[in-house]
Amino acid sequence: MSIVDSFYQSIIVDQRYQYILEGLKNTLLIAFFALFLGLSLGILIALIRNSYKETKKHKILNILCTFYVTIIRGTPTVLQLMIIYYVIFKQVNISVIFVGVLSFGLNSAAYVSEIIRAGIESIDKGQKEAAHSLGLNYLQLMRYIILPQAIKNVLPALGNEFITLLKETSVAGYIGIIELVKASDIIASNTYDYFFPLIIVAIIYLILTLGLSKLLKLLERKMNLHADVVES
Amino acid sequence: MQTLLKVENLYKSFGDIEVLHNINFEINKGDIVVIIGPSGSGKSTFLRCLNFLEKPTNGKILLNEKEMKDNLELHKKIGMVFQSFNLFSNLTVLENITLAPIKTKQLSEKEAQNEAMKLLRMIGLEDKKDVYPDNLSGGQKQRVAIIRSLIMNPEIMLFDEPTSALDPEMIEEVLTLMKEVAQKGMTMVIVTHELDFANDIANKVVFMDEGKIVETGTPTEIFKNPKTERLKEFLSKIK
Repeated sequence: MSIVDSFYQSIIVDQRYQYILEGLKNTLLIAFFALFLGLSLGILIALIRNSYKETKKHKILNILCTFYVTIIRGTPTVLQLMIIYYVIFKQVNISVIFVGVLSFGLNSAAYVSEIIRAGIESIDKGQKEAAHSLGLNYLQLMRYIILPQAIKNVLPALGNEFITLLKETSVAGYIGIIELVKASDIIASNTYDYFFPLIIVAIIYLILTLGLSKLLKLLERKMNLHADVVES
Repeated sequence: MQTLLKVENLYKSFGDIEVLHNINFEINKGDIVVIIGPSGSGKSTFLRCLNFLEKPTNGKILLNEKEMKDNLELHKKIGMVFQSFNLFSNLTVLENITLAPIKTKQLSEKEAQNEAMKLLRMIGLEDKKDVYPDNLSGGQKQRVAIIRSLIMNPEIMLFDEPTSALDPEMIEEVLTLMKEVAQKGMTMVIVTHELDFANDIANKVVFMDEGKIVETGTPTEIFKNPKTERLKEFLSKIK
């Protein structure tokens, strides 16, 4: 079979590229919403754990958060996905894409929270004391002073986490979501030819992750803009 | 003279180490108090206890005869200037000054900006209003930190070694501003190693050693006629 023939069979015949488009749509959908869920929940967890460390308030919440992070980081993503779908939502008729978003979002939140927490702790104590002595409360301190600086400092680590998240969504096929890898699998099981389905999907992932890191670089540069002024 | 701030039986320990031992102290309105003493004597800790940056282990702090707690009311009345300036790095000079009065609803946004510009003009840095702290010299940072505290219109300002982190040529501009603030009637408590400045500005000098107030008096009494051996020794080492 010639390479042209193989391509034709894998992609064009029976509009098989439709699987790949469907897969791309679902991969992006899950990754995008999971990223936002992970980021918001991750920041919340980081704030709870940091506020406990600094003020000894919210002890129970802190224990819950610590427990949560330990469980998520200590078990495989694909297992969490399957537990959420086949155990927790077993009796519920629910969109499988939603389960994907929830599962990957909850997973990412644990990692994001650790990254943000490290970022918060990297800011010198002096600014916290100054804010305190000016009468700002903990939330105002975090919102206006610490988080903007912390997130800027950990942007490269957050970027890594986002890229990992995007690639991890490739296990969503385990609960029947047609994402990119599942799409290539469906095509190949029809044609018995894995070459193009796999290579094309790999290239798509590469383009997505490169695009994402480009985007993060731009964001980094934008956030550092005022620092660059000093040097010029 | 009206007593503004009263410290009663203040103790502070870090773990097993007692840093402050039974401090009793009064500050009148308009007083300029300078605290001196060897390093490790507890003078900075004492200052930081006054606005609860360190939580006293025991004792009371009364402001206008009312016992103070670590809350907004206290922080509006007691301002603080730090050794390492502690400007907010992610905010411009103007935002640094206006953030607290706006967020604590002390001033409206417009009032805060007008007031901040007035203060910036006073220290001659109005052209730096949109600059980030990284682009300021140490002396400029500390002067901005002083007016950031001033804008809250505090009744007392605490200065924790305000010139110790500065290059020598920048110390003068900060001391000059502090004198200006003092002349406007601000009550001030200053921890410093600048003894000439202390002699110049203070009406009350406190000498601390090993967590206790050893001697209190006017600058003349403390610097010219020290009574205790420990103060004599301290002054001889410094001069």
